[in-house]
Amino acid sequence: MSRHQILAFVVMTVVVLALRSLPFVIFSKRKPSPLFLYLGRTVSAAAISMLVVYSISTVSGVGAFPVGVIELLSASAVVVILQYFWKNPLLSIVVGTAVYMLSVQGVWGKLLFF
Amino acid sequence: MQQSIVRRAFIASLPVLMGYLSMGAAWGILLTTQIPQAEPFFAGIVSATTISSSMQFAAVEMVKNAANYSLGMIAVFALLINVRYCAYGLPFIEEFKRYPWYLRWYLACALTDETYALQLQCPYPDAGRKKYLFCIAFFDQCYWITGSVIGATAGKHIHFDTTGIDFSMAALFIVILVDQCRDKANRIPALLGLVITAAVWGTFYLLLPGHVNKMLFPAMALIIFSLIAMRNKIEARL
Repeated sequence: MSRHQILAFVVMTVVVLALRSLPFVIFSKRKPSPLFLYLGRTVSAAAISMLVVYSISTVSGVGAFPVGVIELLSASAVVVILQYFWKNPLLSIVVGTAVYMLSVQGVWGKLLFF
Repeated sequence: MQQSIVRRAFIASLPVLMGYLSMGAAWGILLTTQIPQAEPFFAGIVSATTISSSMQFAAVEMVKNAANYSLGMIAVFALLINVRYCAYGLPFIEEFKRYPWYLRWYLACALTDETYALQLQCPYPDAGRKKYLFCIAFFDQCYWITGSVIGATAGKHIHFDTTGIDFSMAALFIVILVDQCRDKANRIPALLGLVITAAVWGTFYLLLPGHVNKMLFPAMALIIFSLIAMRNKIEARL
């Protein structure tokens, strides 16, 4: 791995550990402001939605934009439905990813039309 | 007595054992199939120090295309993805003050979503708490490391076509989002995030194709701005 790649992991780790210890450093004496608490409660869900859109837009195996949209949306729908009803993260991720990989590799088509 | 604390902590952590072993393995496989130079040993070190599934999954994409991301951008992404950890420490601040410094720092740095949830439900009111909290954090960390090393090793030996395996990162975020939306308070922020990011993505796609990886900054800025602007409405539902 290149130095830049290893440094990227180091930076990421340092930020995560800093965030986890931050409350013990700054809020051990004074109370956090209401705005901070409010953002702490709400930013997370918004940031995760942002990452959903972003990560879907960067998945490989798709050509330029309109190509592959159906594969992406159907695999995402599979994940949503599985997670909503079965609440088993591993099942949702593995089945959803398998559905997506099989579609972009054209396996469905081969199975149907041989 | 001592042993029963350890045992109770272990039994309480069994669901996390299943979750972390398998999720860790999924991450390990993603890491070594996407970045073939990465070794299982390296996966173990990253998992031992970071212990954050959402961050580690996102990191694979960023590190794979490292040329597109400066270290500053990676730091900001890490900040946004994990900002929720800031709030996790709050209930434990007074309690951890009484603990020796090394234990305080370890517990703070090992605080993941699952560990936090288990620690909040600690059955010991006073004596035994310290040991129980430590055991939970330590067991969970071990599961995560083990899972990712197993996955990374398996990923080294996978030779079938892995095109599309990076969808697993999107799937992980979808799973987290579905679970968060079970709590009504999270629905408006989640919807805001989806709409704003899709709009920003569309704008970049039409006007600045080739810079789509830079869209997260404006998207996040707009999201925080609109969260603050809609604070009264959203807080009414908290």
